[in-house]
Parts: sequence; structure tokens; C-alpha cells
Amino acid sequence: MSISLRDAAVICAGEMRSLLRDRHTVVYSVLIPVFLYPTLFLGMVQVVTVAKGASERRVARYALVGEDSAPRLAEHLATASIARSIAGKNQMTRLDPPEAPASPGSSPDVLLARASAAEWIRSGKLDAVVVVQATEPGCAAIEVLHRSDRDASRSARERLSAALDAFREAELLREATALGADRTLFDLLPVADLDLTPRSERLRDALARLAPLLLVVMTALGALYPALDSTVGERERGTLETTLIAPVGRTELIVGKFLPVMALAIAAALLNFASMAAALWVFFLQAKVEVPLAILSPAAIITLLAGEAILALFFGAAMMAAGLFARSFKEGQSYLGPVMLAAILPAVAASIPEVRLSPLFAVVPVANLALTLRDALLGKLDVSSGALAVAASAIYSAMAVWAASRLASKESVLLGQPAAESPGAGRFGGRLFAPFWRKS
Amino acid sequence: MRGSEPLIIASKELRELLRDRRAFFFAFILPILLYPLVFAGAEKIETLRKADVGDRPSRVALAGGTASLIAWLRADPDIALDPAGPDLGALEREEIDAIVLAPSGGDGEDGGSDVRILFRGLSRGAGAARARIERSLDGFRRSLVESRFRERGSRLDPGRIAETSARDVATPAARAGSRLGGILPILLVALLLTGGAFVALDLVAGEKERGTLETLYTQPVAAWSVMAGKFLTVLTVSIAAVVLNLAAMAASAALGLGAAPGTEAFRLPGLSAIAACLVLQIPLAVLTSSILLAVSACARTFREAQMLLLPVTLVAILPAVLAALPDIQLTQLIAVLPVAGTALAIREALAGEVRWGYLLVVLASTGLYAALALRWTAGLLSREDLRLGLESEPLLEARTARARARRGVFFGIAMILLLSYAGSAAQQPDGPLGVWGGLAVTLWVVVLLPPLAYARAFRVPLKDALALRAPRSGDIAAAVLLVPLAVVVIILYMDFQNTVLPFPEGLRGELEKIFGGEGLHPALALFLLAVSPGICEEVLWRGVVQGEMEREGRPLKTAVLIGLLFGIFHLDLYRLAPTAFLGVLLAHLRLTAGSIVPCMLFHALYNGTMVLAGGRVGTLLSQGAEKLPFLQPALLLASGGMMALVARWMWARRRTG
Amino acid sequence: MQPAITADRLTKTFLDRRRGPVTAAKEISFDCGYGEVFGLLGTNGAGKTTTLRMLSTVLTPTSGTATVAGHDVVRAPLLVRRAIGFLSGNTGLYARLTPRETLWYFGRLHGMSHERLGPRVEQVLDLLDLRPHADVRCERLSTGNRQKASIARAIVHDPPVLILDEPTLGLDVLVASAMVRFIADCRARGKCVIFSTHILSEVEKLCDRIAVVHGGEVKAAGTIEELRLRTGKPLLEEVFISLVGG
Repeated sequence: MSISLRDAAVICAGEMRSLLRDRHTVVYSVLIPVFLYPTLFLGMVQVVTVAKGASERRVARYALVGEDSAPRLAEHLATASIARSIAGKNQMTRLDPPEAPASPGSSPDVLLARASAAEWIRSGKLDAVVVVQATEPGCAAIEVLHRSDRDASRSARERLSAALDAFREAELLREATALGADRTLFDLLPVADLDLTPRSERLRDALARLAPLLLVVMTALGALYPALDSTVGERERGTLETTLIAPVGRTELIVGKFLPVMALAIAAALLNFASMAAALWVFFLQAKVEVPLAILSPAAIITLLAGEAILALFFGAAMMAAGLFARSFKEGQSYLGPVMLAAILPAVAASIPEVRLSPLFAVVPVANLALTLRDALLGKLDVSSGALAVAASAIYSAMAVWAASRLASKESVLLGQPAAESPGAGRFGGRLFAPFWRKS
Repeated sequence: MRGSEPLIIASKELRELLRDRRAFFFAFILPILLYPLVFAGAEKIETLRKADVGDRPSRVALAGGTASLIAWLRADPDIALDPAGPDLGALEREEIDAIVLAPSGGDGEDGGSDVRILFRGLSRGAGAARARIERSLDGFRRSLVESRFRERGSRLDPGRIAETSARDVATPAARAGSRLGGILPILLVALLLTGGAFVALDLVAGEKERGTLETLYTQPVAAWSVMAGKFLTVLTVSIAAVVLNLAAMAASAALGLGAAPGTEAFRLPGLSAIAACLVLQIPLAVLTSSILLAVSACARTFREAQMLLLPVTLVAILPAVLAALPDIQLTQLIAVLPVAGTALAIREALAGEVRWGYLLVVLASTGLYAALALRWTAGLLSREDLRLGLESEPLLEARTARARARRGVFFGIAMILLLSYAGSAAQQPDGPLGVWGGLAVTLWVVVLLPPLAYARAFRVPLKDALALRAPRSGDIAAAVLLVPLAVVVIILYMDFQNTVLPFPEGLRGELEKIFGGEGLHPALALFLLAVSPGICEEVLWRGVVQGEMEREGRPLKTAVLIGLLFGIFHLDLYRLAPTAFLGVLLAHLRLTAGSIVPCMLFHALYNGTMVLAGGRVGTLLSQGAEKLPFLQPALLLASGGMMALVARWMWARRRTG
Repeated sequence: MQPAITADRLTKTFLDRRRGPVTAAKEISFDCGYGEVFGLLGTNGAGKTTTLRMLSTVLTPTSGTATVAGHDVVRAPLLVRRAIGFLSGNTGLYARLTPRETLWYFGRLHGMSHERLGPRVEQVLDLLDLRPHADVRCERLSTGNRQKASIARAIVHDPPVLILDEPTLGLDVLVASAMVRFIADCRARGKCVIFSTHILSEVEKLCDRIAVVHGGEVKAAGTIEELRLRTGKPLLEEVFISLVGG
């Protein structure tokens, strides 16, 4: 099965010229990534800032029940509130419980509070309920009742917990002082965590997990529409037949059409990726986070480019076959959803560190490339598995190209008409696989 | 417009769609069939993740520590003390999970030294190891403190003196509902858009390419009917897509797929919540369908429409992502925002809280946006050039006034982008230029040079572009007079804005430092913060960009656009409204005075006043407000009124030509 | 000399989902030689297009054989395509290429060398009076010029056989008559031209021999004179109607 490369090259040049002349699409495919990501990131930054401001301003409302069991608690909480209100944020204020107690006495209060806290918080009357119960003489158990499905309750809980921690310390100090000692009696063994991972390594890990996913999605998207356009789109516009009359083999035709699709997919993916990276960099600058640019070392860049090329090879071929399989351009459009799913799921799986590039995974399409890219970026690539993955992917691509050229020989694909078939080919499956049986 | 025409068109479109069985299958049925697969896959992945850590004890290497501490740690079943000492290499090779460095001195009598836990954040066992070590140390500390207190004669158990804990009283169903409420709105918007995109793109852009759109417009059918018919089709398909997808997801979840061990099963929310969600969905679907049609109408070919769709989808989903943020609540302000209001209302409904008052506001506002979008789409579809898919005038060699105005706007947008990249890079506090140097470079290089280059490249005479005309004395006087009025109005407005859109404290402090020109000699501060923007920003906005836009002869559109772009240019949500207002005012100045000089004057004077005296004026006003509660609204009205009068006077004597 | 085109019992059956097998062309047989213009005359849906497509290897015959320029359409399609120039309503032009670029593209695909192609492109452009529009994108050409560009594309490699499906469809009087002249010119140069049409005046003007096709079958084949004698009708229109059984 020899291919006339010259013929394929001629077709490729013609297609590229035609594609690049579609000025609007070219302009959009450049402008959109360049404008989109900065806008998105800036927008997100603004939104998060607003959210933070709003949250800090909100005053947490709590009720305190059973305070007799911890006599100094109420005052402590009140003092803490005053201190915060001077700072103007993260304030707390004490309210009375919504339902008045049946009789003054701590136990009924506490039981009632326990039973009703969920409802009080749900109805928005309170954000949290602090319940105090005496355990032993001089000791008390203090519980903050909150609801995790209410944001106000969650932040109230945080503020109250901080205040209660301070209270506990104060009580301990009180007892220690009474014993004639100071805080060193109980303030022992503070614990400090230290993450030894250098910042650059953490960023490199993040890059290695995200980049394959992003590249896979962008390449799949970037390949689909050009592929559809140059196959089923051309058929609908009537130019496919023109090319078919020329004395070129079907394989040359597919290869010649496939290369521009691949080139476009690579261009789109890299443009999007670069723009996203640039926008992120600015975002980090604005957030005053230091980004060691070393994570984008020459080695990493080369790895990304190589990975992208192989991805584009695979997706380009697969999309060409899909494009020829479609009966109409509209139908080709409908492949977008399944294509995205087929691309995203393996890529997401690859972003999880527990999933490893085993020989099994090395033959799963898309996932194998994503995993290889990830491991390569981390510098932990097992060369044999990586080679297996690349080889498997190349084989899949070749199979897709072969399938596409078989489909291109099939009349019903060329002309959009059902052709005479062997008996029993009326079923969906039969028609699906017929081109691979018959010679054309 | 006969009422039945849209229905005739819509039913034909739907029939055509259903007849293309293969397309229908791939677009709608196949994704639904894949849901169980997706859920199962997610479950498998989750299981993989958990299995990896497993239940083995954490391997910890200990250095130092008293005998009792060592014994305590050794006794912990979840911790395996490595016999070899701490070895950073072993930590890196993941042979151990963490290293603990403890003081060896007598049980920490030297209070100050702490216990250090060293780990590597990326290794799998680190998180569990840390938690277990901290828990163990807590227990050790507690027993130690207890014995010490007892030694001193205390009768109290120190661990129980003020024992604090927290309890979540939300039911599992409520919790699950809350989690769902975070992602469901995003999912809904995404499904509405992607479900309808397929059809919307084909109905307009696709038909344009096939030439069948023209045929339709030659029928005795009102253009509005055509659009309404297509809109109904897109709407039907969008809603059907959402319903199908959600049903498939619910079915998969009900079948128990995707419920990894340990997550709570989800129960359907109450009836009123479901009703609220359904009701909210309708105007949202109307809005997304009209957006989709607009995109399809703007595009000249299918491919162009597809390209446009991606950013539109992302931008439309962004407000829905708001709903996922924990600290946002449904306020009056947010209820009015498109998509965001609906998303938050749905989230609250799923959390069991249905506030019908807010719901009505959300419904009304979304309906309004939808109606506006539909009207815009109808306008788009009646434009000849769009209907026939003609190529628009090239941007660069613009000749007509309209094209030049467009080019100017694009240039403005490009400048905003340039500023966000270059400005941030230049104004790094620790960068080579420092904040002030960076600001100077940003203004004089990044802001000033490109418009000059634009004028040169497109052969716009600078004199025209910058309207460097001698101003009339009346214009100068008006510009000067407007400064104090604007100062008062803006300060009062910012006070009001702060109540609705509160400013985070930390950010405020930082900005005040910068705009107060702290650490700078007053003359330098004035130069950097008043004179430089007064020149450079005006050259860009009221100079080159407005010069291009004025050619179209639509002063209102010019002023509004320039104001808006100017506001966005400052890249700050909090200052968006005031700077946009100032932008409109400045544009008005140039429009009426026919010269850029009053604009520069106003800008420099306004900035200067704010830098030098803004704080003081603000304090004065708030002090005055305390004594006289009506002072602020009265001042606002008075200043605003006077500004309006001055503007009106300027308009009456505007210079034409 | 060997005939340029021979068709021997060409049959093409399509499988329609609802109606079952549909025979678009049934046992079509005829031949034509070099220096001859052969017309396929028939109504719409008669099977003309199907026949022409089989001859140009776009469709594979269900049964029967055909040779074009001495090559079998089934066994040597590549060689057949090298020898033909095909033109039909469906064979569109690449919208964003100019006529000159189109000619270069197809010339290269036909394996013509740079030295040969250069002068040939200019020659063809002159021949069809396309030079003023040679560098305008095809999407911006008028219908007539587009048709000319399509013809140019079909002949750039100077094929000995021309297969034209309804070549004057949609053309105005001037362009249509230019087309007719062109076909006559091809015959003068010794090419074999087979074209399908339902416009009788063209047939009378141009064709040496014709075949009347109806319902997928060849009802009659021969010179116009022979058919007149056979049916006993003087006017071609009446000849046609009587053969077709209307």
C-alpha cells in the first residue's frame, strides 16, 4: 500500500490555503483565546473579592443557652464581639433564642435548644447556637450547633470556635494561676507543620495534572470542526466530488486532508494554552503570588509540544473518520457531545495521581497519551510504558486514517445515498462495517 | 404577525430535526446513555483513590522526644515508628510518610520549643500521617497536662474545664441538597446552552450557508414570525435536552451508581423547591435560547458560529459559578443580575428555602433580559448583510464612518487587554520599577504610545484625532466648575455603593495607600496620579478612540460606549460605576467643546483634588451627615443637578465640525 | 481506432430504505469514438447522471462493464480518471480559491509538471475568456464565470475524453452559446465529448450521435437522421416523445 506523497502534498497545500482564507474563522480562533482567558480570570478575581467583602461584613448571630454552667463565657464572647466590631469585620452578636424558655433553669433550655437549633438556623433567625452543659463541678462542655448547608452558619461556627478556643485557654490559665503557676503549665508542645515540597515542585505537579487535560480537550475541539468541514462539509458544498474525480487514491486524499486538520488542531490547542498561561501569569502577578517561571523549562515546553503533536495526530485522524461517517454536516455537529465525553473522561482520569501508566492503561486511547504527558512533565516517565503508549496511539491513528480512506471510497459516503449492499446489510451494524469488507 | 406563523415554522423545524434520526441520536440519546457509564467511571476512580491510601499505619520517623512521648507514639495503632532516624532522603523516596522533630528536654518544660512535623505535600500518605500525628500529640499533651495539674493539687480535669466541640445539625439530605445546589445551576446553564446550540446554529447559520434562509424571507411571512418560529424550536429543544439529561442523571443516581461508599444518598427536595426550580428554568431557557440565536445570526458561516459559541458559553456560565461560591447570598442586587440571580435562587430553593419575593424579582429581570435579547436577535436577522452572509467590511482598511467607529472600539478593547497584561507586569511592588515607576511606565508608555501609533498607522491626522484645538473660555470655566461637583457626587455615591457592595477591608487599605500617594512627595504624587493620567488616558480615550467614534455622528452611543470602556479599563469592579460615569462626562466634554483640552484639564484637576483632599472631603461629609441626616442626599441632588445644568448649557453651545 | 467510450450492459441498483431496490440504470449499452460528440438525451430522473457517473468512476456499476480511453472503469479507475474531464452540477468549485489557483491545484493533481502547467493554465484561461477574473475568489464570481471556471478545471490536463452532465444548465444565452462553440471545438481537436441534456436545440446543433434514455434504459441510439427514419417523425421533439412513449 504505497502512497504518493506528492499527491497528498498537493491536496494538503490546497486545503491549507482554502482554510486560511476563511478570514473570519482565522481571526476568531486567534482573538477568542487571547481575549477570553484574561476576561475570565479577571472576572473571577473580581467576583471572589466581592464575595469575601460580603462575607466579612455579615454579622454572625448566635444564641447562648445554659450560660450558668460556664459563668464567664457570656462575657468572654461579648468582649470578643466588641473587639471584632472595632475592626469592622467578622463580627458576632448575641441574640435571644426564638422561643422563650418555659421556666428559668438550665436543663429545659438546653434540651429545647438542642432540638430546635436546626430549625432556628434553617429559618434564618440565628446562625449558630452555643449550648453549655455542666459536666463536673467546675467543668463544662460547650457545643456549637451549626448547619453546614448554610453559609452564614458555617462562618458563624468558625468565628465562635475561635472565640471558644480563646475561652478555654483563659479558663485553663485561671486554674493554673489559682494553682500558683502560669500558662507554661499547660501551654505545651505547640505543633508546627512544614511542607518540604518546594514551591516549584508543587506548581510543576499542578501543571502536570492540568496540562494534559486541557490539551486533550482543546485538541479534540480544535480537530472536530475542521475535520467535519473538510469531509462532510465539502460533500454538502459539492466540492468533494470534484476532488474525487482527480486521479488520486483515496488514501492520498485522506492524508492530504488530514494534515491541515492536524495543523489547525495543534494551532488552536497551543494558542488557547498559551493564552491561558499568560492570563494566569497576570492573575498571579495581581494576586502578588510569586511564580517561578522555571516550571516552564525548555524540557517541559518540548514535552508539551511533542505530546500535543501526538494528540493532534490521534484526534485529527479520529475526527476525519467521524466526519466521513456522518451523513450530513448537521449530524457531524451532533458528534460534539459524545466526542467531548470520550475526550474528557480519560483525561480527567489521567489527572488523578492514583491512576498510573501501567501496560494496561498504555493501550487505552486518549488516557494513555494523557498519562504519558503527565508523567513526562513530572519527570517520572517510565520510558517503556511511554513508548508503548505512543506506539499504541500511532497505531490507532493509522487505523483511523485507514478507516477514513475506506469510508471515502464508499459511494454512500461520497454521495449521501444508500448504495447497493450485500444482503443483510440493512441493519445499522451491517452498514457500519460494510466498507471494511468490500473493496472499492 | 399572525399568531400561527411562528408555530408553523417551529413545527416544521422540529419535524425536520426529528427526521434526521442519526443526528438526533448522537446529539440527544447517546449522551444520555453514556451517563451510567460516566457515573460508574467516577465511582471507580473514587474507589481507586481511596484504595491507594488504604488502612496501613503511617510510617513516621521520630527525632528527639522524651521517653514518654516515644512510648505514646509507639502505642498508637495508626502510627508505625520507623526504627531508623529521620532521613530526608527516605521522605523523598516515600519510604516514610512524615518526620517528627520533638524537643528532648524534660517533657517540654522549656515551653517554647515546638514539635515540628515535616512532610511532603504531594506524597500520598502525608495528609493521613499529619492528621494522625496531630491527633496523637493532642492526646499526649492532654494526658501530660492532666498529670501536671494533678501534681499541683488541682481537683479539675484540665481537659474538661471548657471542653469545646461543634456539631452539624443539618440533616444528611439537607447537606446533599446544599451540595447539589452548588453545581446544579452551572449544570443547568451548560445543558441549556449546549443542548440548544446544535439546533440554533443549524437554524440560522447553517441555513445561511445552504441558502435556504433567503427562501424563507421571500415568503409572505413577517420577519418577526420567522425569528419567533426558530426561537420556539430552540427553546423546545433546550428544555427537552435539560429534562432528558437531568432525568438520566437522576436515574443513574437512583440506580446507586456514582454513590461511592461514604457519600450520602440524595433525596429529592420538597415539592415547592422543585416547582420553584422548574418555574425559574423557563425564563432562563428563554434567555439562553435567544443568546444562541443571536450568536447564530451574527455568524456568517457555521464554523464562525461554532467559534463564537465557546466564549459565549463560558461567559454565560460564569455568573452561575457565582452560585457555587460559599459566601454569596441572594440579595436584591444579585437577584437582578442575569443568570446569577437564577442560579442563586435555584440553589436556595434546593436548600429548602423558597423566598417568593426574590423569586419574582429574578423571574421579572430574567424575562426582561430575554425580551431584550430577542429584540436584538430580531434586529440582527433583519440586517441584510447578516441574512445573506455577506462579508463585512474589513476592519483594518475601514473606509466608512461606521467601520471606522468599529475599528476604534476594537482598538479600545485591545488597549484594555494590553493594559491588563502590561500594566500588571510593570506595576509589581517588588519589580524593577517599583509601584511608582511602574505606574509612570504604564501611563506614559503603555497607555500613551499605542494610540499615537494607531493614528500614525491608519493615517489619522493627529490634530483631528486629538482635537487639539484652542478651547473657548466658557468650556474651560465649565470644566473647572464641574470638578468639585463631580468630587462631591462621586464620594457620596461611593458611600452608598459601599453599603450595597461592601469593600473588603484589606483591599481598601491598600488602595488608600496607593491613591493617597503615600510615601511620595506631593508634587511627584500629583504628577503621577493627576497630570499623567490627565494627559495619557485622555489621548487614548477622548482623543483617538472618541475621534474614530465621533465620525459616526451618534453622540449618545459614543458617550455611553466610551464611558463603559473607560470604566472597564480601570480593571476594578468597585470603581467601575464611578469611572464609567466620569468617562461619559469626559466624552460629553469633548463632544460639546470640540477640543480635548477641557477633558485633560478636568481629569487632572479631578484626580488632583481626590489625591490631595479626597480623604478630608469624605470625612467632612460623613461628619456633616451625622449632624444633619439629610445633608448627603441634599448635597447629592444639588451637585448632580448643577452638573446636569452645566452639561445642558454646554450642549446648547456645542461646537459642530 | 478503438472507441473512446464503450458501455456494455451497465446497470446500477440503489437500495432505498422505503421503496426497496431502485434500478437507476438498466443494461445501458452504447459507444462513442474520438472526434465525436455523443448526446444522452432524456428527462430528469431518466438515468443520465447515473450513467455518466459510472463512466467517470464516481459510482461502481452493479453489473456490466464499461471502458473509457481503453481502461476498464472498475478495474483501472485511476487510469480512467487521468483520461477524463468531468463536469456536473455537483462538482463545485472551492469557494476560497481563485480560478488560477484552482487550475494549478488540479493540474498538479493530474501530475503535470511545473513547466507544462504554467503555459497551459494561461492558455486555458484565455480560451475561456477568464483572464480578467483569474485572480478573483470563486465565491465572488457570477454563475457564468463559475461555470467557465469549472470547465477550465475539467480541461486543464487536456483529457482526450470529456464527460459533461447538463453543461448549459442555468447559463445565460451568451455563455451557453459559448459553451456550445467550445464543445464543437473539442470535437475538431479529436476529443470525445459525451454530454447529457434535455435541451433539444443543443442536441441538434452539436451531436453526431445520441442515445435516448428513459426509465433507466436506452430506448434508442444512433444519429439523429437514423432516429428520424426509425420513428418516422421529422422533428426531434416528436422523435423523442414517440421513443419515450409519451
